[in-house]
Amino acid sequence: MSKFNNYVLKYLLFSFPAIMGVIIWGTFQSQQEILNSDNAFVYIISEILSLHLIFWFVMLIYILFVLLLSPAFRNKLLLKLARIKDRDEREGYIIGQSSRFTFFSTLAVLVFFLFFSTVNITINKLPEGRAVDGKKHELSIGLSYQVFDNDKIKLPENDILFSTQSLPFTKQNILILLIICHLGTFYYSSKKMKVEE
Amino acid sequence: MNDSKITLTIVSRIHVFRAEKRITQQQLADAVGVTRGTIIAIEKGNYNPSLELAFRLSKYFNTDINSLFKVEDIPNE
Repeated sequence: MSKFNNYVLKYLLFSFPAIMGVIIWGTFQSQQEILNSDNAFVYIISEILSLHLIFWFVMLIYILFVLLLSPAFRNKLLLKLARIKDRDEREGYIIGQSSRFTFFSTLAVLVFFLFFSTVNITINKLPEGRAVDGKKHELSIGLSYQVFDNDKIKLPENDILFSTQSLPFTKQNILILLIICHLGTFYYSSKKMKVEE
Repeated sequence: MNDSKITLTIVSRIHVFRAEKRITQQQLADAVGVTRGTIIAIEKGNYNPSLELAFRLSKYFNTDINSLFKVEDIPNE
């Protein structure tokens, strides 16, 4: 890890509270309100923090590119992130076993997500006169698979009691869940193996 | 063809040699280039060392591998 990349990483980490502060400030007071305010101090602070936010994002993009392009940097950073200690053959063995466990667990989660993203469940109210044996509701279960994310056909909403189509999570949440699952499974399995020994 | 499998259990005698030599687990670990956790795991029988580490241990204790590790085979039905 070069010294510059090390400094950038530390900067990104330690200035993160300031970035969060700007984001929280932005939720309570819009940029236009700050610009219109008579308080010069608030205006200057806002300008400095906004420029800092831009700089922070530029540095973040730089580090993400280095992470993608430099295998040595990626290896060192991810070893730190996953708190992997690979000091001798037994720890290497534990990491291998934990990686195997993590790989299969993540694969299981992905298969689970894929299944639920293809399942459609709809419970709707039948129109008057279409009730069968006094039953007024209808349950539809189906599977759908689409290569492209086309606009979904809108169903009439008034009679639907419950409907689920594909995953209810946003793409960001799915990615966060996968990262947490990936790291959590690795920590759990490596710790368990060390305790067993 | 014999379908019965044999489970090999490797019993370590490192703790005996270590006691004879009056060295700590940490000293042995440093001498053979592993962590203390690895020595503990080998002594407890929870980890089987690689052939390379086994040779390093035997060289350190100036003995052969068969004296350091005893192999017990338990035939399975």
